[in-house]
Amino acid sequence: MPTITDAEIRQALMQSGHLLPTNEEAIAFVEQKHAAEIAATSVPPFQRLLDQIHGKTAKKPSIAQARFISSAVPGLARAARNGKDLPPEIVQKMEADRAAAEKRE
Amino acid sequence: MSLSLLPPQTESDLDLLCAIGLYAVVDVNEANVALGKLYERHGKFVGNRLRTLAASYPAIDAEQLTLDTFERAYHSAGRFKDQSGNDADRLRQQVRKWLMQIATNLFKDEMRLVKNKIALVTDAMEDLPENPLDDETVPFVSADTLRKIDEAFVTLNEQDRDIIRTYAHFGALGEDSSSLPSEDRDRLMSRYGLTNTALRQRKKRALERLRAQGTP
Repeated sequence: MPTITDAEIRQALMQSGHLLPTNEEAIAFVEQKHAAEIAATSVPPFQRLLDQIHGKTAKKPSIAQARFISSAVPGLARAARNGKDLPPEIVQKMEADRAAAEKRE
Repeated sequence: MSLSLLPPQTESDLDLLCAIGLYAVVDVNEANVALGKLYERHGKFVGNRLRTLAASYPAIDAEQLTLDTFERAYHSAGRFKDQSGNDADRLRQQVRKWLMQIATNLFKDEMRLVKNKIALVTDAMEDLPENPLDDETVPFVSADTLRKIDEAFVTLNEQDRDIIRTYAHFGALGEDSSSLPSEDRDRLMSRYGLTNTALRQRKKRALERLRAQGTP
């Protein structure tokens, strides 16, 4: 019985949408199979792209970036206090709050 | 003649990318016109693929990644290499392939942030992409095999799907493959608390399940 190859698995994952299609064959397949769905896809207004490129609006951070920023803020705030540490009980409460918030997500 | 004076549909995708590369420095309005046409032609495709992928990654903002992909394309338009031989369909697919490579880099960066919650200097920021020469041999996958692999993949647990996706992103699924960057391998190990050997075993078992269910 012929065994399916790794390259075939990768190609199948691209064609079925589990990976982004990064070869012409996968792109042609997706174009054909999902033509109607692609045509109906809504994308952000072009003006939003222009504003982002030319810096008229601050680039919206992705959710991942927003999470990083929120986790980095206490450290930055600490640095702004000339490196003085927060009292341990405050740090403990902040960490508990953050853990609870992440659990809710 | 400037692009905005040309009749619609006169410009190929290559014309648009060249115009963006050229005018971005000397005449931003002309570059914007060309970018608008490129966005109109390919925005829905890019957005659709990112949305489909984001269905498995709720933390990913597909709309923002679509914008980021075109922003990156705007800044690196001059690096696109035409290998289409004046075939319009091939050129369209090559441009989309290039956009997908940009999107893949951005996506991987997003995933690093999501999973590790640390800031990284990104591949996508540092390595503005050129489209590599087309030397990849792409296998034909029958509709039946495609359906079976798809069905098998969604039955894997999320960790195994993530492991398979990460290896597959780099074309590193094979047992003897060493093309998975060590930082990505280390990240998987740390994310799931696995040793290198355990990670390879997880990947191997998941692959075996895909093969078993996908083989005709």
